[in-house]
Amino acid sequence: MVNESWDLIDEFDARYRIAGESVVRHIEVNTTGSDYGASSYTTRDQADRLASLLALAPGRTLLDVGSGAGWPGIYLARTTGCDVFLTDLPPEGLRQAHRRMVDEKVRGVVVAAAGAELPLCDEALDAATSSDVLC
Amino acid sequence: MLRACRRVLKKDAPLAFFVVAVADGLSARQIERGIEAGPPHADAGPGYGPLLREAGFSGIELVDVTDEYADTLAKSIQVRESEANQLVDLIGEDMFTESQARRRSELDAVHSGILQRHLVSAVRP
Repeated sequence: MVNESWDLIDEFDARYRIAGESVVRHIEVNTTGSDYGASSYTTRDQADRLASLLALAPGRTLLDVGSGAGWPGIYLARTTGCDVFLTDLPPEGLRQAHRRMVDEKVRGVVVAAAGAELPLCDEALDAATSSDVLC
Repeated sequence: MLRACRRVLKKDAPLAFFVVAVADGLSARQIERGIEAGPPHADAGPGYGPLLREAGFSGIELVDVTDEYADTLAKSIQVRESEANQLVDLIGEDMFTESQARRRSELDAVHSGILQRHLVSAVRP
């Protein structure tokens, strides 16, 4: 089981390493409307639905579990003004998420952590989301 | 993971997520096909309603977004096919062929009613 988890992390890491290639970016934009190197099926319309459901706004804090390279967490922070806390395990996804967060001047934190072991205090955040990672 | 989310959320805070899962009420063989064809962790056991209740959430709602999932998946296959030459240069022919076959198998499972995608929302009481 542990080996399977590491294989999965490696598989996603390999995907993130090529996500910036123009052909991969073109496919992503034309499939979901994201340009974050996303590996989920969440479209831009669906991300906007999350913003509404979660009542995201400036001053509120969002947790995106299994955030990968930042879709939709960083997008939601940019479009709503909320702060974002991103967690995932593949290192390349986290590196890209951090870079994107800085580029987009989004307020937030990127942390390497499994979804079941979140390094956060109790009752710390205002909303939580994830895209195609929950079990 | 759901319990961890509940712990870190404030009182009355919302949780909303998209998830692909094997549909309810299938035969063992269909479940196996769904697990093989779907993304990792597609087997949600008792389903997200019971899992969220067990984790201490309330106000649970599930909205079926399987049609949108099928559209996105179909579009992904089609766009990749149209960019096949460049993708093969990038990842190699074997990996391209394998990934397209995996996507087609996933789409078949969606069309057969085996895989579904939901927008799940709940509140931390």
